[in-house]
Amino acid sequence: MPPDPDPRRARRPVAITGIGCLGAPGLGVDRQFAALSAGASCLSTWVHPSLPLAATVPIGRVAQDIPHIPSRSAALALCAAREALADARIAPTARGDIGVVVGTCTAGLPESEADYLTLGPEAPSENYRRQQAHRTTQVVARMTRCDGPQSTHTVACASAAAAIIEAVELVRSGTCAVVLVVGADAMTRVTMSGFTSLQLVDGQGCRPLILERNGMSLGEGAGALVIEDPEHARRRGATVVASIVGWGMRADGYHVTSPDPTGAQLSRALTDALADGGVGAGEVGYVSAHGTGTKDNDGCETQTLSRMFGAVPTASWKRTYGHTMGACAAIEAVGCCLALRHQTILPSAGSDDGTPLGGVEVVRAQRSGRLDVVCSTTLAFGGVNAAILFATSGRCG
Amino acid sequence: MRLTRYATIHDDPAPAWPEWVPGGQRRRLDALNRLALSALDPLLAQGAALDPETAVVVSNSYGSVDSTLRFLGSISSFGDRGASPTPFTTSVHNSTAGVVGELLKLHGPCTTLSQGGTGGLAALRWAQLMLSAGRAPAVLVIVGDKHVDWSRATAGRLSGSPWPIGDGVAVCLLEGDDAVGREVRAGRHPAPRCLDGGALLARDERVLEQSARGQVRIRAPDVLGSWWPCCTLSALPLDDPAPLQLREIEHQHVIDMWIGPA
Repeated sequence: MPPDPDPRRARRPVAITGIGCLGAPGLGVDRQFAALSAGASCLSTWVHPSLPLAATVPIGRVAQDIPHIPSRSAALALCAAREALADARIAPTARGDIGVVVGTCTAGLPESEADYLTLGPEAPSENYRRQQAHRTTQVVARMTRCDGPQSTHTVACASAAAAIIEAVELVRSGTCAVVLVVGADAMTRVTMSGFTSLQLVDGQGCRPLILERNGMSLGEGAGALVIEDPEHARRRGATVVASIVGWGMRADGYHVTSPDPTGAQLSRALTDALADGGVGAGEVGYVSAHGTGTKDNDGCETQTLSRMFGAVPTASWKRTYGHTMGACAAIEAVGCCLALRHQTILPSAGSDDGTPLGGVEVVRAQRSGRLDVVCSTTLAFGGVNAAILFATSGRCG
Repeated sequence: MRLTRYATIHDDPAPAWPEWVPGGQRRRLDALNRLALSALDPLLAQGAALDPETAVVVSNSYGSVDSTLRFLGSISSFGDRGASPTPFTTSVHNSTAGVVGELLKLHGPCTTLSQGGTGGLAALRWAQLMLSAGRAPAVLVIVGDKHVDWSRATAGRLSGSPWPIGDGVAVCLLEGDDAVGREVRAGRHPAPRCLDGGALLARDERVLEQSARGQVRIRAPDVLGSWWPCCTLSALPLDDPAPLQLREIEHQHVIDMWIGPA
């Protein structure tokens, strides 16, 4: 483990005052908690011409009715955002200055790819305009009446992690008192065909963090957090769900699609996050790993985590949701908040019938635990490594 | 923060590959990556090698159009199981940031923004947040878009832009206030002129006109002769040392930055 960071270098935490989520388990944080607690696999096949491969390969699909707006990603984002804002008890009339930061990888691609593949390139397509990622942000901002600064990150699988990081810094810098941050992505043919072409999809459904893992599963969903200046939250009497105490983000500079097998920059991202929060490695009681189920990702990730934290309880939730691409860090942030709120260590779905990877403790069943700090890691195409530290509400009190 | 290096390229259909891009990479990279690396080449020549802790922010509006269309074409031709993985890997919006990080061995924080007409100044805002937070000694900002014929025609039809749809990339290196360069600040500050970019539709023009407060307005696409969503930074008149207000607008949302003297 690295030495404890200098507490004088720690920067102030921010409060999380609302959370919202939907994914394959359903809509609402209660459904997420039930599925995560059970270590449930919510993957299934889906027969539909818009996603031919899903007829034989299980995915994490949102089956609920969602708002009927032209972009599915935006509709998913809106559901999570509305739940988070309601949880934060911020009335629509009081949202004028709230910033909106979105992380999304594919945004409006499901609709524009359908036009392109079925009607051909000559078809005039309003959906091409909606493919632009910031259109998702505009929809969320307009429909929730949050009229502060907007930003949209599209950093492949780390999109939502990048969005959370900017939201934290917008609050810390005093630019915004409150920021709504959302990660959202709908399933697309491009994503499913792309990862299939790279031979990274497990046709039986992913089994992350075990020796027998054989690839990833894909999914869709959205997670949302209301991130707030702690003093602002206190003044308006908000209930603090959890806090974010630190973050780290480092680029591998190694390869566009393969993680650096040494995990050197993931390790530095974790060290940066600990220093940012003034948190000792021994204080981290649980890790929500990126854990895609691919050989490369899970190998370098668990080795790095064990070097940093020892045999820390670790779980991947990709078997529950599928890999939700740009949304996953926000969905997993909601999971981290739930683990802290309920003081419970959630299992790694799909790991119960295999050989757990060594170094860390791959959690195989839910148990109670005294959690003060929980770490979430994200790795992405482009060689991006992100680590975010969530802590109990008392940390920002 | 200080703008210490700057370079731009626009409307060049076949920009030269920098010598430091290996042949194997040239075959793999798409048109947007090529344009970005070509713009980056003169910036790198303006000073010493970049600090490996430099952060990178790339901002574009349409992403890697070339790769995305090639991958969709591959699905059309070979089916969902038979499509070629090569264009898929560069079709993600952040492939440019990944390629730059890989080629220059940069390890600082790294993101890609897609914020439409306000993407250029949103990237400067992110750079300022990183520098203020002490997360990097410098931030490399790469802003631009590159179309293919199909997307150029479609974007032109959908954007409502009165200018021809162009391509371009601007690259800036931003450092802390102890560096030597033009000062850059967030928000509105006194300046005789403002440089406007972004959507620039009629309704946006009204917002910008009302808030110009007597400033002489320059519109970035008038300077460049073509328009792409975040082209503002490609039109910086850095040969003039006078302070300049920078404004980008999208759906009547404005981001303001200010660039002062060195």
